[in-house]
Amino acid sequence: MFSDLVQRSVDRPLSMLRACMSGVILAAMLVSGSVWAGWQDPLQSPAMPTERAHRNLLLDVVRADNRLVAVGTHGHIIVSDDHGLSWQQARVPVTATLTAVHFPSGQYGWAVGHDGVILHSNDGGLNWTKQFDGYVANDAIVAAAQKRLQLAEARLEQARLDDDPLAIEDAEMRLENAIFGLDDAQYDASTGSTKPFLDVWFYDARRGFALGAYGMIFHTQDGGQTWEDASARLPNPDRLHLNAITVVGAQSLVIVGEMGLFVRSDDLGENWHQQMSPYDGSLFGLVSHDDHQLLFGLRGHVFRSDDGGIQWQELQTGSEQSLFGGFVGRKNTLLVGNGGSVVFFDAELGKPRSLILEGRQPYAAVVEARNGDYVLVGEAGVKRLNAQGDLLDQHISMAAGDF
Amino acid sequence: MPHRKHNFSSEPEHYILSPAAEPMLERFLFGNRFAVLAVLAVLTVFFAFGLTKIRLDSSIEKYIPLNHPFIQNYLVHQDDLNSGVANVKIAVEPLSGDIFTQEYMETLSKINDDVFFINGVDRSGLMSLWTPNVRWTEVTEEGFQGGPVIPSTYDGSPTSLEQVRQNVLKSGTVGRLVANDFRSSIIDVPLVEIDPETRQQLNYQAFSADLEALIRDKYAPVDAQGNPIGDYRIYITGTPKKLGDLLDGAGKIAIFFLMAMIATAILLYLYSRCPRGTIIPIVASLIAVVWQLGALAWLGYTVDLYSVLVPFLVFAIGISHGVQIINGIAIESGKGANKIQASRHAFRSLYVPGMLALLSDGLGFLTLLFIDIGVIQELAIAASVGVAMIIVTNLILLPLVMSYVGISRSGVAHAEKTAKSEPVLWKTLSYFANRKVAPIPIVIAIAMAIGGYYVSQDLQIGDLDKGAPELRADSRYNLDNDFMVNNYSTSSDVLVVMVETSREQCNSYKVMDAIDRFMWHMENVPGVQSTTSLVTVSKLVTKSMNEGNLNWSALSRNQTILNSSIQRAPSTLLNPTCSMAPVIIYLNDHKAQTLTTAVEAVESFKARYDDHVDEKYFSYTLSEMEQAIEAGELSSVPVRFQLASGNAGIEAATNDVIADAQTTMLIFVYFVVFTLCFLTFRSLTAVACIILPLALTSILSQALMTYLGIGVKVATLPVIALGVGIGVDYGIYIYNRMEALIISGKEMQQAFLETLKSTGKAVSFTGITLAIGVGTWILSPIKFQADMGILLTFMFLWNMLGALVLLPALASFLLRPERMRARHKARHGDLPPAG
Repeated sequence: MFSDLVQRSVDRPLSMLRACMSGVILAAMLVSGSVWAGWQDPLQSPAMPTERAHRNLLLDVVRADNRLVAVGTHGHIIVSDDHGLSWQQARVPVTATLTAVHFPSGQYGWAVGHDGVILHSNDGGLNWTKQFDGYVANDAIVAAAQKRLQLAEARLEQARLDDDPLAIEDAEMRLENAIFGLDDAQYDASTGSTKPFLDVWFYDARRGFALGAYGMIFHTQDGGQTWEDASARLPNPDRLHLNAITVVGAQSLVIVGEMGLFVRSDDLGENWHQQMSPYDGSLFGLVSHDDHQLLFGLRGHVFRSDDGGIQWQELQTGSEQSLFGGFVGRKNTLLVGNGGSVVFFDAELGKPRSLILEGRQPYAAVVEARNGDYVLVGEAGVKRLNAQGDLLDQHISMAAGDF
Repeated sequence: MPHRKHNFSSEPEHYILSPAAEPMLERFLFGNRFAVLAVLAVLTVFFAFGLTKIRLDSSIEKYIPLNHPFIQNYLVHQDDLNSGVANVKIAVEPLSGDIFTQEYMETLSKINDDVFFINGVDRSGLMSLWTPNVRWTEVTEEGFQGGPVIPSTYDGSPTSLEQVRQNVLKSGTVGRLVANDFRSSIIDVPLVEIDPETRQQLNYQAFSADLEALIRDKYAPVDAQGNPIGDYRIYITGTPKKLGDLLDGAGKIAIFFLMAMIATAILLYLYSRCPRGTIIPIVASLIAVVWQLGALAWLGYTVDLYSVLVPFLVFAIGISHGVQIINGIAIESGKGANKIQASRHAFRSLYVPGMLALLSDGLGFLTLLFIDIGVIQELAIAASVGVAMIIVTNLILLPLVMSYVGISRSGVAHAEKTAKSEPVLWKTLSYFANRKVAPIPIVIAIAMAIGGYYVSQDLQIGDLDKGAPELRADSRYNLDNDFMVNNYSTSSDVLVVMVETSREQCNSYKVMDAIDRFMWHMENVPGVQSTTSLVTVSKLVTKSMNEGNLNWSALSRNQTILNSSIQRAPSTLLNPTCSMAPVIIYLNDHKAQTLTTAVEAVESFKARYDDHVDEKYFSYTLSEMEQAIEAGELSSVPVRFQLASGNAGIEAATNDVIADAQTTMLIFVYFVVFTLCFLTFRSLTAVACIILPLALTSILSQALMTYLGIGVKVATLPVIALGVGIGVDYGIYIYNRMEALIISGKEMQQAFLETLKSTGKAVSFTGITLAIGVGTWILSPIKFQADMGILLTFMFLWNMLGALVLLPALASFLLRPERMRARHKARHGDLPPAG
């Protein structure tokens, strides 16, 4: 799609120069520390205290026990303990735009976003620390590529020793790919921390995935202390964007993405295999309930499966807007998207009912609060809906972080 | 005429002009009456010819404090920022229903076509639902899709109207070209300010008139009560329209001048009962006006919305001095003097206090030069020149003419009658000079001063009314502006911060991210509605290029993506060399508090984020900058946030200048008045008697401003200088006379009564003439002229009352008649005092 066009038309020499410049900036920052006045990298700048984050761009909202946690632009993370009526700003060490958040328990949570940033909280979302960022990600990707190159070289050497022409040819191809891969990785690294994470998911307090643009996916097994480039595990040679990751069974995970990308793992992310995709446009997410699943994407395209994701048929939802987020509630399942579009489904993920919310603002995510109201986030911040789909016009307030 | 040795002492006024000059000047002027008049006639012709060169100036620069740092910063980027400023918006609203009807679309199309052909319209940039440059776009699996909002297949049928409705929703024009409630739509009309063929500046007044005649009157006719008789209402806003309306308003000034002249003539006749004594001062004062305007035109000055008011003042001041001369001549004629003798006596006794009064006026005006705003400085010059002209026309020309013409018998009789009569009013007023009665006005004055001071604590700086503060709140323009603000997502109060960096770097990641943070910083400031900049465009386009996915609504660190994201950014959001990108901050209003808060927020951000590097780096080219960074001179491209442009930015600068000037002005005006009074009367008690009533008026006028909701602004500053400078005349005339009478042995109350009988009438006449002159401004459609009218009328009348009531009351306590007589005797022996 368009992002690819842009990416592939990159003007290399200019970007190299700029990369040098940003390197100098970074060096200057490291030397002089935080006393240096003036602009600092968003990855080094703590989020500014604000009372308006709940009215600005928010991109994800989840529940951590009884608490709601939402993330968005300018490093905003806000939490609410009263079903989304009043919010409190959390302490965040970056100003990067955060795209997704996940809490495997009420205490432990991770948030990811632009500039390859991964943040961690172990106090229910009030205080966050940076575990990972795009610079580290680039180094990790380069390191992984170098490792693959070494492997390929070793394999070629072995093949030559064995004097096996077939193996040599295969190894030469692998080597060539590895060289290109390292080239790409080094080039990407030179442009800075440009790639955003788009989703994050944790199985427990230790094991999790963070994934995003250009096929980027990282895996941790130690609660985010170290992150490993897992992109080689996915059948994604074109490095398509990975838009969302969802758990669909005890050990099963699904990732959806650009150009109908649809992959599945049944061993908690060790091995991934391609699924038959019902759509060749972008998919933005999947929700599941028992064996029922909904796959949603560009321009109101929604597909339903009743057999755990084997067969799909398209649903006429009445919405022609791209749908970006969904949530399976106790009574209803909701999908939300551009143009104020909200689609209600029943508990079995059927009987779609489409509505357009007043203001027609785009929404990115939805969650059901403990009291049964729905909390939506998007371009205009937080909005609340009752179970019937009416906008609740109660005043939503917010307190700035005390830092 | 026998030569008369001057036989009175020079005190009090001769400290200013040496006694020797007096008979010489008088002898010279009256000895060469014809020659002097001939010279004056030639001068009049010369200045009258200058009138043909007068032109009304519509440049905005004179109205703003050019030397303020905000404006200096603005001027650096003026050419880049002004593109797009000169446009008007025409909203077309059906009386019932919404815009999605066949009739509405048809009418809109006709209006669109008519606007297209109006002179001055930039036809390629015209935007409305009917122009092909207004398009809808949509992201589909195949990429972008789009087309004109009104498709070529449009036929007015319900289906095609529904299609238009859908396209409008997809076009992103709601809030910009289509009202939020779909009950009106806008034709956005950019203008070509300089005609490419004739190189002539667009005539805003003519353009504005075209809009009224060819659009509003044609499509939204109204009946006599202003109710629409067609099916549509039309609203027009934009700076060119506002300027047009202002210039129209300035044209009405001529009518006000005529009104003031007629009222003054009637008053003058009632006062003098002499047709000659009425016409000649008016003619003399008109000559002063001609001289003033002509002189300024010869000097190359233009007339603006402030200096257009000066002729009123010149005329009124001229009349008030002229009337003293006429009065003097009438009294002398009553004593049996012939025409020439009467004129000479009147000249002799009046030219010194007259000159003193005019000098204080002129110097008072000149204090306005301390305010660093073009229109005010030109007002100061115009008014001072005018006053200088009055010295010649009303103190010299007038008595010379009268020495030929003489006063009519009816006039002499009237003057004699008045001199003998002892009106009840004067009798009553005279008690204020009595120590038993005097405490009453003094206590009242103190109470008013305290009350006034208390009220004026709430006095605000700056313009307080919403919309265009130059025009009245209920003016057509401001009503139209209200409509736009209420129905479209737009604010008329805009603060622009110019983000500067080196060349080709305005879209580098560091600069864009700094702008992004700045915008968010400002959006958190109370009074800020929203902000827009290159970053807004970049995020929007990046999101659109990623299938409209909100997750991508962020700045990319990839320079190529940043570059392509702003490829189609409006040229108003960056300059051609990409070394400056404005951040447009929309404010709730332009109240001083809002502006101060916003400006302080910008400054606190600047303090943290501005790079303080050598000026030269800001003009570096891309390669120079790269070399400098490589050489380690700089760590990164420099960025700084410069205040300010936009109407709110200019107003913030103006408020800044005004807040300073307010105090400076007061100090200077009072210093001038104090010095002149002290030099003249050589007595602090005398100065107190004259100045304290003025101070009371100043305090009360500030209270009045607070009460009327008029803030301290460009227009109210000259009011203080004019009010005090002219107001002091009354005190000087009254005190001068009263002192002379006291020295010649009169008891206080008696001295005041006689003062009232001789000059009280002239003083009250002067007060009323001046009040009439400025009072007509209250009718002006231009708000600040009306505000000046209200305040000056108030000041002139209160100063008059102060001189008639408070001055004698203070005198009764402060003056020591025995000491005054002793001092006089010590200096002048037995010569009687002048006056």
